[in-house]
Amino acid sequence: MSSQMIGPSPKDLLQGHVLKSGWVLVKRLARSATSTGSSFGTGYLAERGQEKSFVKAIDFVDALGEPDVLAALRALTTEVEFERDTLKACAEAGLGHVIRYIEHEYVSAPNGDLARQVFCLVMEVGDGDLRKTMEGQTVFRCAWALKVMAEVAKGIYELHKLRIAHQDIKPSNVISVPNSKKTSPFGYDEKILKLSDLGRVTRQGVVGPFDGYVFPGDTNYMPPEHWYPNAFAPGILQSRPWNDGREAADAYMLGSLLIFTLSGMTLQTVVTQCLPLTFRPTVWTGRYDQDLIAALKLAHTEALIKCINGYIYFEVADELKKIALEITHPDPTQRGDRRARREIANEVGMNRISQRLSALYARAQAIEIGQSKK
Amino acid sequence: MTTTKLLKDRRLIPKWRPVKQTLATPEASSLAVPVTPVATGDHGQLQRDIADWRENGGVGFLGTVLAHSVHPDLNEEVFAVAREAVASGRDISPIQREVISTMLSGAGLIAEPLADRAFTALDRGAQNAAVRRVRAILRENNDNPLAWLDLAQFQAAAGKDRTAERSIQVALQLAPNNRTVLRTAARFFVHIGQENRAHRLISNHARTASDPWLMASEIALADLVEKGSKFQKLGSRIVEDGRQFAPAHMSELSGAIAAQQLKEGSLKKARKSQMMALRSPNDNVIAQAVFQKTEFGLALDGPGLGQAIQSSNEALLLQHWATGEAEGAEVQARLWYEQEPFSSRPVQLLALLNIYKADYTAAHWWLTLGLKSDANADDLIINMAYLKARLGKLDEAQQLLVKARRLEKKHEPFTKATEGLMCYIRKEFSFGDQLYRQAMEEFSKAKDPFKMAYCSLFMALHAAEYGHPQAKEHIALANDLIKRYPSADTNIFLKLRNAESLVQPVDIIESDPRNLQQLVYDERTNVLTIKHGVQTRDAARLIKR
Repeated sequence: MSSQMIGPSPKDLLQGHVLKSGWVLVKRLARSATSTGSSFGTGYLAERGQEKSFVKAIDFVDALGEPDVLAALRALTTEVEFERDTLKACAEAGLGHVIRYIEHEYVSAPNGDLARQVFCLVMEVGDGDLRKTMEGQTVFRCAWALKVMAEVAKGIYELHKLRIAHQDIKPSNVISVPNSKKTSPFGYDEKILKLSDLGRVTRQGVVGPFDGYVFPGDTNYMPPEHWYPNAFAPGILQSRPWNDGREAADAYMLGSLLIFTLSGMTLQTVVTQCLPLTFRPTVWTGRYDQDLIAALKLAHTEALIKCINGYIYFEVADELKKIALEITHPDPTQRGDRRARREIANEVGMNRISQRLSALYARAQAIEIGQSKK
Repeated sequence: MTTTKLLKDRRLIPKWRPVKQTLATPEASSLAVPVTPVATGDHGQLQRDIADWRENGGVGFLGTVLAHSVHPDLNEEVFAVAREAVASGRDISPIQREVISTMLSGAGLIAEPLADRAFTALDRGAQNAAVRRVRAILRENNDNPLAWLDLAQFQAAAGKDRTAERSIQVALQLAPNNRTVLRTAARFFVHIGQENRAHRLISNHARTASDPWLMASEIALADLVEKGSKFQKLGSRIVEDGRQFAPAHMSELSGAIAAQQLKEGSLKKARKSQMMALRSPNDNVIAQAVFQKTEFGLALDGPGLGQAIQSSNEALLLQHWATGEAEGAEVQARLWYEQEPFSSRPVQLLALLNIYKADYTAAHWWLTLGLKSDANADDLIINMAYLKARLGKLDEAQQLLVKARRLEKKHEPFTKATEGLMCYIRKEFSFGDQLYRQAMEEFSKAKDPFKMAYCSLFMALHAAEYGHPQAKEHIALANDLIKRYPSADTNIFLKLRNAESLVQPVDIIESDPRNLQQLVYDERTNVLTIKHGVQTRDAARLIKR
């Protein structure tokens, strides 16, 4: 969007403002700290008594400065409304691993200028994203990495149950939220990891602003079928079934997250370096065919072995590698839980992936507790 | 004692290199015309991520910056941060450190299974480690067709043809349309003597009609099984047109067409096709070109071809062999063996060189290794029989010759010559002479006077060595025949055996080859251009305009 407005945008001027609902916008967050991916909002930390929340403030000033004001306004309102409705739907369904929607309201400009109204979306607040929780570590605790995986997988499954595909799962969209319910000896249960930023989701049966995008998320985390711009004939990717197109992409990004928590690298970076030059995205000009898939398969296996071996307890390593290979399969029609894919419904099977990861997490925790007692 | 198998029957059957080597060649690349890469990176986001990393540090924030490295348009900035991260001593994970180092060096993160070892034939530990690596990949992901191909190569090298065949079948089931899998499977079937099966696989495959690499394999395999090629006509049209695919993709096809045209006697057409093949040749095509250099009469120099020869161990080996450079030939043969450890051809040559040098321990080692890969390699068996005879183990030699006769009748003259040697050792000279003469007659009948001369050389030298009363006459005959029919084999043998005082080696004179390009210098514009095309024999390399 262009910035043809004069003076600061109203959404950036709300620090200290009290919303009608009682929330006090105590601190404006730097853009990067919220890292929502949706580029049109300003984040605030808000308080209401003992409660804390995150407020995303959006105004229409930038849109009004666009050459095609109507189109810009329509795009903005559609995106905002879609995100709000999706968050609401998730909250109503009681999703435990997705950032909770609290409420929304409009803030009017003091001079009554309707064009300078701000829309505020109030959501659950966390301590920071996944990158923040990795601070001070260079080699990662196995149980911690598995906790991240298990909880994010749960979040994805919860969304998939509502026929929502997140499409932008990445470290900055995984938020650590305090959890008062459980405690474990290593403090693993003090935090719960939740998926945030539903601004790029696609919903089956609900028209959304990103339905036309084959991959609306961050291109640094996208699955390999999107790395090669000319690999598919026009229209092929758009016409894929929901599970192979949308849910399979989420599964891949979960695999990428695993590699990130273990190595601090995205899967795309490591795999690209494992690929022979001929098959690298900037060089390969052919289709997404068996020649390419076979090379990608080899590179993924090598990347996963490199990133997992030696960083994970051997008692859980085999099963974890198996899961990782299933959810990062280069062929999106085969990606996902192997058993689920073999069944008639041919689902990605995030429920099974989530269960398998939870079991691994429990096992890794037990190993860690056992080791500490020794 | 056979001659080297190198100097006969070479076709453009696909090479079976370690998978990672093949994947790095044009053979594995896409046929589509390359497009200019578009800038795909989000520069603004990268700036924000760099700012986050500077503010927070930590491997998570660094990883987010490094993630942008997949976009070539952002590489410069990402690499700068990577260098800073390493130099500043800030938190960095072991994998990040490794990725950064390979990223900055421009190398790949994973070494090919066979690249990290030298001369593994002599290093079983390294070979086992390479096998373990391939098995580890398959243990993690057994639906990996390319890893199955590497495993099959190790199995074939160990002589486990049946298990290798199973691995090849698995790869074929997993990726029945993959070009590398198809060509490797065909090469494997040739290796186990199922040439018709290899031809059927490629000939009947739906992809062959649109893929020049598979078409080339089909033409070469059809020639091997002495059947008409299904794709030769189409291939010829594609080569004549020359515009459908990039030169690198047409190289093997043009080479296969050229070989057929040469066989049919159309030398002019064959030269034109061979010129197409040599525009951007792979290691297989350049080796074939060196092998058929005399037949085509084409010069293989110029920067492009020189580079191609340097990249092919087989081509270098053939060149060293032709010029009598035994040491260079041995090094290249060993490197070739590293690349295709299942193949008896480099082993055959290494065994021969060691026999020529009279290093029978080394020769025995190579022959044993080769026979382990292929127990029925008839030429290796004959050479082993020769070696046993030289070592005085005549009974063992005789048993091997019986086996060789059972396997292949066409080597009969070599078998007879070896029996002649055994008679000389037993001092049964007249019987030995009879066998040697029969062998020479058979070579003569087969219109192969070079092998006849080669045979007479062995007869003469062994006659002198074992005290044959007519040794002098034999030496005179050998000198006479070698003068008329000199070959690289006889020259290398004489040089390595220091037998030049008995039999004189004769230089092999090649007629002037034709150049494939001419440099044209325009004096008016001061511009030098290259004109492609087969030149006349006396054409100048540089002309002025």
